[in-house]
Amino acid sequence: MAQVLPAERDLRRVIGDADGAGDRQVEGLGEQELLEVYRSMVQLRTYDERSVVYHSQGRIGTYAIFWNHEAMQAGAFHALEDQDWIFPSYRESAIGLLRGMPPAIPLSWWRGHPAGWWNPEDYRVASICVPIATHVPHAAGLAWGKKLKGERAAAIVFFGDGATSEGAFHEGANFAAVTGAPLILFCSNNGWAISTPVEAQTRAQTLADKAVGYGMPGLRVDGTDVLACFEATREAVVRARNGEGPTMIEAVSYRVAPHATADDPSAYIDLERVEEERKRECVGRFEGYLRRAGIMHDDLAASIQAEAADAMREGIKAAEAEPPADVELLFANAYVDPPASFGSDLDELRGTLG
Amino acid sequence: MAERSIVEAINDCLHVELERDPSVMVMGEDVGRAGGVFRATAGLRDRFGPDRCFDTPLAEAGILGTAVGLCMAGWRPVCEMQYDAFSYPCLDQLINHVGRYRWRTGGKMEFPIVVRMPYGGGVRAPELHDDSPETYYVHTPGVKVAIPSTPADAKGILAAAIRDPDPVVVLEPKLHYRTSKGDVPDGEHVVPLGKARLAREGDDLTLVAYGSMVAVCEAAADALNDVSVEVLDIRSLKPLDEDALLASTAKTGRVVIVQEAPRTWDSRRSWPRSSPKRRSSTCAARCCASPATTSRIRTGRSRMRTCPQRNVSLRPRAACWTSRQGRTNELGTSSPTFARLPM
Repeated sequence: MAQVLPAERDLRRVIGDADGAGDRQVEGLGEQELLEVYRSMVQLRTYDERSVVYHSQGRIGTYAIFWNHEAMQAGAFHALEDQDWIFPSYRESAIGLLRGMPPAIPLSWWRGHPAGWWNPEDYRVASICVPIATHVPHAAGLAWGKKLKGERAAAIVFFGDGATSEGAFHEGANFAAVTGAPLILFCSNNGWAISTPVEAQTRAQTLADKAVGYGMPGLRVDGTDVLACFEATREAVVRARNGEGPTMIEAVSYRVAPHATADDPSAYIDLERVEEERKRECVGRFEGYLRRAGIMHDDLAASIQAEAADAMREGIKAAEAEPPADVELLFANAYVDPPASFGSDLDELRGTLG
Repeated sequence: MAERSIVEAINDCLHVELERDPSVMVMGEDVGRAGGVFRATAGLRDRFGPDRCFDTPLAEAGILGTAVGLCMAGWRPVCEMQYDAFSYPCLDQLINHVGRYRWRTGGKMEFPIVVRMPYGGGVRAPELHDDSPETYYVHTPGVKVAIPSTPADAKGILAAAIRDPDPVVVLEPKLHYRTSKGDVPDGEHVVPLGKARLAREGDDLTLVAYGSMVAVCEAAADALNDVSVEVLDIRSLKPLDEDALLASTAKTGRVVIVQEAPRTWDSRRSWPRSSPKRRSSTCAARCCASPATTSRIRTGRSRMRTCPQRNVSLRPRAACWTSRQGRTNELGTSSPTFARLPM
């Protein structure tokens, strides 16, 4: 039985302030690894900013913005190995890019086009989960199933603060704990579930406190500190690989963008706080850390950003070049072995559509 | 071949399938140590270990949600829902994920999940132990639904469901779990999904049913001494054996569909429409049978006829029959009887 740790009260941090006071080093992260983490953050940031533009141009549909979540996603990602599975919510719609997924795939997903689907096995990235928290049991099942087969793989599932109110979160976390599944439950707590503040979700002092009830450790980190997210996830991965079961990580940030492109947060959010938080947004914070360490300079940053922007230009071009989906899609792939009536249903639909 | 009850046949099937395929696992509430509240999983934990016959926390949505992930890891989970109505928490997972996940991977992944549960009324249990929820499941895209009525089919259909690459919900007639006995083939026994069983041949009237209502129909056929009744056990609601339905309809020209589920949007309405090209064979039969207490059968006579226009409505005419005398079924509850068919 794993030792149950009380959730940490203080947020873990690695990156110090703008003067470099308090900067720590993370064991095992050399210059190359740090630059890879930065490259991932820029990939995600560029994807997110371009997507908001594409939405305003009518080139993609409603889009869930993850600006300032890049530290949580990239930090956690770099603590994983290639065989580990990732279960994203819609807030992590582009996390597959970090496993080599072409940007055209998630862009197509946001265009409502079937080219936005992928084979999860190709990237060890599960399909984007739309209904809140319902993928937590999936991740628990995969992690447990891999463990039963004696495989080394762990799994990580991303969800928001609001998801911790869902029954599916509870059932998934409990299954993971009971089965000793090698799972990391990564809560991206940005303080808001659309317009509902986290204080209205729970009377628990912290979301990580919930881990105690499942008999698993709960860690709390600064969600805009990519290295703190990395470090905490790596600890959780080590526990998972050692057969010590799941860990919950609460990464705390503040939502500085609308929930999605259809949302206007000015009706409910503290806009002054948003301005304050934007000044310490996560990509800039990490870039400052790298500059203080002498790893980052203007040319390098510019080339990494240009590379990410090029990938997005190619991505939207490829997504827009996809032909419209055929109506057969309503029936195809729903079954390996479909009911015979599907054939005549499709014929009838084609006949109706002319 | 051995004589077994339905629940024994299910247990036999699970032993055979877990032995045959090491990726098959059973999970559910009380399935391991207790062997299931109906003993359908008795002995599995001892033989195959606690990992392959797993006592889950009490969380139906968690069971089915975890099963999705288990499939992704290469397992074939057979999930037991303890009772029909207790399966409703898992509808979220079933509708949003189990039935759709393959679709949203563009057909790249398979989710060979089986959800099996006792269903149906007549066992004198409290509320929510006697539901007939098949319509919810049949209506869910990406999910197949089968309901056996005999011990041999209980084994064979469950085996087919376990081997099927798609998710399959198997509803088991709990009323007849122990009272219905019959010969069950030893070893591997598979009954393909989507094939109806002609339970009894007849010329004048077809009674179509599945699960618990097959026995009711057979009792009705016995009671109708002067009428030659065909009983079609449809066995699989999706896929549906339309050929068998049409063949029997063509033969007798009269069909009564008997089910114990709520009437709204039920098989009675959907079956004649399930295949657009075959709507012409719609037969004017209506019926409703309520679970093993009283039964109302309404039907209308009609000749088998061709209705080339899609919107032709053949409304029931003629008589409405009501149950006139009580009979006693195996459990001692009142079971439906049928008035004589006015030919």
